[in-house]
Amino acid sequence: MTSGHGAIHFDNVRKEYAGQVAVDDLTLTIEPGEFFTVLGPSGSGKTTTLMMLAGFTDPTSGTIRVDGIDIAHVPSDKRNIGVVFQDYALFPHMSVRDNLAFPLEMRKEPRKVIAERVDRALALVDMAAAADRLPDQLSGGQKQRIAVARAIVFDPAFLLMDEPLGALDRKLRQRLQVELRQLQQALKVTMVYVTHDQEEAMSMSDRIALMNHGRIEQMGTPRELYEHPRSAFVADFLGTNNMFAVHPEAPGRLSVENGGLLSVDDGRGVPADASVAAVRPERIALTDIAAAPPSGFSRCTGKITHRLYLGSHTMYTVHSETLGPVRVQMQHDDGEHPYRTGETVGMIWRTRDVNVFGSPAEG
Amino acid sequence: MTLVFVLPVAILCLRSVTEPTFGLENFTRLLGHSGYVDNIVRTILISAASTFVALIFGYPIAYQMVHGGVWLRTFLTVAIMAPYLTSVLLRSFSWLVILGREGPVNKLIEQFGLEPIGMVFTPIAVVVSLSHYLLPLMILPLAATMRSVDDSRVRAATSLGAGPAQAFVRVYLPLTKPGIQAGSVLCFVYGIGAFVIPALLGGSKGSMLGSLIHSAIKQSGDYGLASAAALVLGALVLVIVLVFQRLTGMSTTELAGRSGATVTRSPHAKRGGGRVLRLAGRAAGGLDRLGVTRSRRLPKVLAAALGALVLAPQFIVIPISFASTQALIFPPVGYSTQWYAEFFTASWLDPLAVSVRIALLVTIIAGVLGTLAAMGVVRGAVRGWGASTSTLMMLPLLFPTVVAAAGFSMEFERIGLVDTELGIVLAHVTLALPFVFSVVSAGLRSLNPVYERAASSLGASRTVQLRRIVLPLIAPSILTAGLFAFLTSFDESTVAIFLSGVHVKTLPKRIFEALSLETNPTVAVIAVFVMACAALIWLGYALFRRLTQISRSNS
Amino acid sequence: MRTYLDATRGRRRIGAVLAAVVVALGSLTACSGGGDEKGSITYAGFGGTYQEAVKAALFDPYSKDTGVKVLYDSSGSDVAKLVQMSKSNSMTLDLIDAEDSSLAQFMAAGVLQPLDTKGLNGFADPSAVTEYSVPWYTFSRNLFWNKDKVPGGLDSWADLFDTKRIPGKRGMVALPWGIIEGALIADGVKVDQLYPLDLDRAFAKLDTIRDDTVFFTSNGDLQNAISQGEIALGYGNLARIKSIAKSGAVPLDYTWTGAVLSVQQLVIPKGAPDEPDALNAITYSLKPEVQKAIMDKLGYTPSLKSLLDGLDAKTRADLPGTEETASNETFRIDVDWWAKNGADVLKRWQDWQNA
Repeated sequence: MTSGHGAIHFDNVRKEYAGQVAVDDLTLTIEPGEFFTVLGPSGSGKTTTLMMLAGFTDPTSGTIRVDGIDIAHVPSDKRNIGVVFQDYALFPHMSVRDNLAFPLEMRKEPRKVIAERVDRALALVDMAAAADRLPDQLSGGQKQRIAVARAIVFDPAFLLMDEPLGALDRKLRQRLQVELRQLQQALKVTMVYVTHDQEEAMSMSDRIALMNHGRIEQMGTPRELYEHPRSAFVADFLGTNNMFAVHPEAPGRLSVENGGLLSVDDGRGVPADASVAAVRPERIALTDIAAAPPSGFSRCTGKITHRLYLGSHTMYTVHSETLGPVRVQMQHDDGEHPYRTGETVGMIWRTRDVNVFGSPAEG
Repeated sequence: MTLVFVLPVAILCLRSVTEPTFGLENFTRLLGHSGYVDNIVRTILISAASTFVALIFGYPIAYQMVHGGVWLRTFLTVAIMAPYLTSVLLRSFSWLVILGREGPVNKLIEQFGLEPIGMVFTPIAVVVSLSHYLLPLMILPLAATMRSVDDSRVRAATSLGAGPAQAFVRVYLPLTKPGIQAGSVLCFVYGIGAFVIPALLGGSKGSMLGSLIHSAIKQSGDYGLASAAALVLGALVLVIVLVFQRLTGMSTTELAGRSGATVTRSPHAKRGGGRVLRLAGRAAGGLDRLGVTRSRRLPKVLAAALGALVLAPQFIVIPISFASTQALIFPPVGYSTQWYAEFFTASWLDPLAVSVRIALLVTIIAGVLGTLAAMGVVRGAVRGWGASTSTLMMLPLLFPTVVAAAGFSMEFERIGLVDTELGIVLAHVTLALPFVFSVVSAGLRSLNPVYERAASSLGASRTVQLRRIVLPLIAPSILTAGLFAFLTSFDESTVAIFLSGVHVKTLPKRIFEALSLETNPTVAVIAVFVMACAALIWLGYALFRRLTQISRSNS
Repeated sequence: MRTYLDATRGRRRIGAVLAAVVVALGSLTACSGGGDEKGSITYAGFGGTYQEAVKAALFDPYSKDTGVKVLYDSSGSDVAKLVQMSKSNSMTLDLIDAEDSSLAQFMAAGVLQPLDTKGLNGFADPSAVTEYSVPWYTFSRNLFWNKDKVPGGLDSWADLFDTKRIPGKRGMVALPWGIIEGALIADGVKVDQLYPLDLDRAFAKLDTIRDDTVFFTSNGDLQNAISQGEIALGYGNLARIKSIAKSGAVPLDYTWTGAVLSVQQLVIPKGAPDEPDALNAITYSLKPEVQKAIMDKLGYTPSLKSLLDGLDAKTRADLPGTEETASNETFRIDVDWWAKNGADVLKRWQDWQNA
């Protein structure tokens, strides 16, 4: 059940629904064996991308190639793609075993081979005991495993998953994320994973394509996207960020709307039309009001207006005269922090942790 | 398949201007003679009166069916559905006995020292029986609309100082207007197409277009007049439906699929009757001040009483079925089981077998065709055709059966299909198709297309998807549709009366003969059997549901 | 590739289902066609108790003796309909039970099969035999009343039209012959001056009882309504009146005054599917035992002279067309007039009915 193949190419793919552009000029390459996530808010075009790849809808223009072969006119039942659907789409009138046997029957496998492969797939997802149950008698997590087993049992060219964990509670979701990733690595199968959940995308993917308004905003490894977002949208979508409206003042300096100034690492190139600056709350630290910043750090003072205890960390909201409200996230590494609401404190952050973006794209 | 239905109507058009000679003679005869004009006017008046009675009875019943307690709801549902499941022939029979000069109603009148009233063979009997027949058609859309009314709005009105009656008249009643409209139009349309009831109960004074068409074809062979009358009837229905659509913005399909969908107000609906409502509201306010309307029990008792009244005619047949004499007098003079014995003779069992055979064939043919059509429309490639096909398929539901029956009988006679099982099967298929189509379409629409996508991704072609995934998943809908088709055919009297004859006689045709040519209490025996069957099926169904619930909660 | 195989397999299965349906339909038509095989005739009578009587008196023994099956239709009095059927070459009937006015109209329309009646004789009234028909009994329609509702009874057609003196619902079968004549008699026309019928005068007279009268589409309907007490008085077939009186449902009485006499004839329509068997049945109907049974069951007068001559005076006093009952202004319909004008009167009658 291994496959070294499964390279996918989108070339200038465009999809319109009744004049509305759903996917615009999509070009991307997915490597064999890669765990590739298409991430985006609803309406971003990620589902359309998946529908085109699976063959449930045809692109308006452009080509999609799998292992070099144009699949535009191959009907979905001939594409040999393992799809896991949002609500699993297990056939309710068939037992688990029959559900798994279905794709093999379609491929006219001998009865004996079918039985063997079904058993193997069930063992792989640890669901051998449930073979004769009906889908309605399974829990959400069990259904999910069966759906995955059904998608891999016929050794597809690649796997396509559409929010496969969306219906599950948080704990189970996290466990299954790990399992899915391990399974994918064990099978060395190409995985195209569609989700709107950025944490899920970050924790599982080799690469992420973040989509917005039918276009790819940014494509890269989770670290690239998180650390070096190329647009305010990306910065805002992944994790949390303090966003400041700015305009360039001098080289290495931006003026904030409230009147303050913000230093940036000039070496990283500040766009001429810089309009938004972002600093992640966990990159800011609270200090005593009097403490001087180390070299390479910026500093600012403000008054704590809110304090939110969140277990592993505390989220502070600090009102700064120069920057406005700033969120600061402090880990509880060394016990409780001494800072109280109403207290005036200092905030420090590395100048290179400030990301600057040009004018956001229209819309 | 629509062809089978459209063709006879086209032939009606042709015949109406060519028989006996070419020209509009039949129409001038129909519309120029005061007698026929009277008949048309009478048809409209009787139908309107029946609709009104059905509304007056139906509204309180529907209200309690939606807002009443569990027991009241169940009772009312049974009270409404039980007559619905009984053939209109059998119900006419009950009314014949009840309203008769020697019947219980007149006995009661005589108790008060009054002169008995002749009701049978007058429009009175027709209106009573017809409104009883139409009641479910009124209640279903009413109840559907009432279910969609937000209780909080009535509560809001009360909190704003309106008394219960005032809140009802000013808030609840207007909110249920779409249901009233839909129900009234349905009743009216079915009412003017009535045939069996006026034919059996109306005599010459309660005669309607439907019975006129029948006697013109069957007695005088006057096909031209029959065609013209059928066309006038068809045109009336068309006009009513069109006017209704214009006024409310509701579509034919919506109207025809009456029992299912919730009827909601369209934004284009005309707002009228404001002044009437205000006046009524003031009157209701007066009632509120008197405190009459504070009783919570009164409306429930009223609805229960109405429900009992609706159900009661069903039971009159039980004593009649044991009558010792042939006369249909209630209570019977003496008792015997001879009519039960009579039922088990070839005279009744043969028609029963014919009915069952025809109904089975109709079920198979309409089931296959209707399912294919539904798949084609709901999941098919011919998307543009969807809407128009739907309308075409639903049309026979609103179109008077008697018009279609007249068309069939004239055309089938020419090609030798009258008095054959094939002829009746074909005609019944056109009647059953809309049911199959709408039930299966609804099933398909509620089926998540993701299953087909999943199957496709797993390598199943369209055919395999339909066979292995879609068909099993909509099997309950198809079974329901099949049951509908079976009952439609088995219970169908109009087409059967027009199309069956000597060689092929369905059970309803035999009942019609028994009612019109003989005085035969065996009809009561059949009514008893039907009631028993319905009760058994009901019980079985309740038991089945209970069992499946238990097994489900166990697993 | 594989999926295309699937598709054809599926198509084959659907084909099999369709084939099954076609076969089922085929067997159906075969079944229904079976009725027209040799050895069965379709007889058009009037249904109800009349049909039961005819079945017991004539067709049950006939079928037993000949093996020919008899199917029953109840459109015997729907003259226009039967003429229509014959003209459109869709005749399915073999034998029609026709009263003389219907017979005249059939003959005028030319839809009857000439019969070979040479071998038949012994009729009480040989003049009733025609080229197309054989008389099998004489019957009458009489004025009747429910004794509870009309204690004084009826003495004439004028009484039937006198709604002031005798209130109550009138009931009749919606066939114009006899009723038109009755209306004229009630209006003062002498029985021997009825023809040609003054239709305007007759319909004007009929207008006076329209609101008090129910016209029924069949004898059975009328019989039902009388049995249930819906009808207080009226004009109807004697056999039905006697049948109700015998059943005891309501106390019914009738008079010979103003009774309309008619000879009932058996005829074979042109294009009858099984003419020989129908002719056999006609011959069979003249057997003395059949004639006797008809008299006993229907209370009508046999057409065989031998049988009629052997009856006692008491029996004859209650049979239509005997000297004993003929005195009471009973009359016969002028079938020639009806043959000529029947179709027009029927149309006018129908229009009046629906008014």
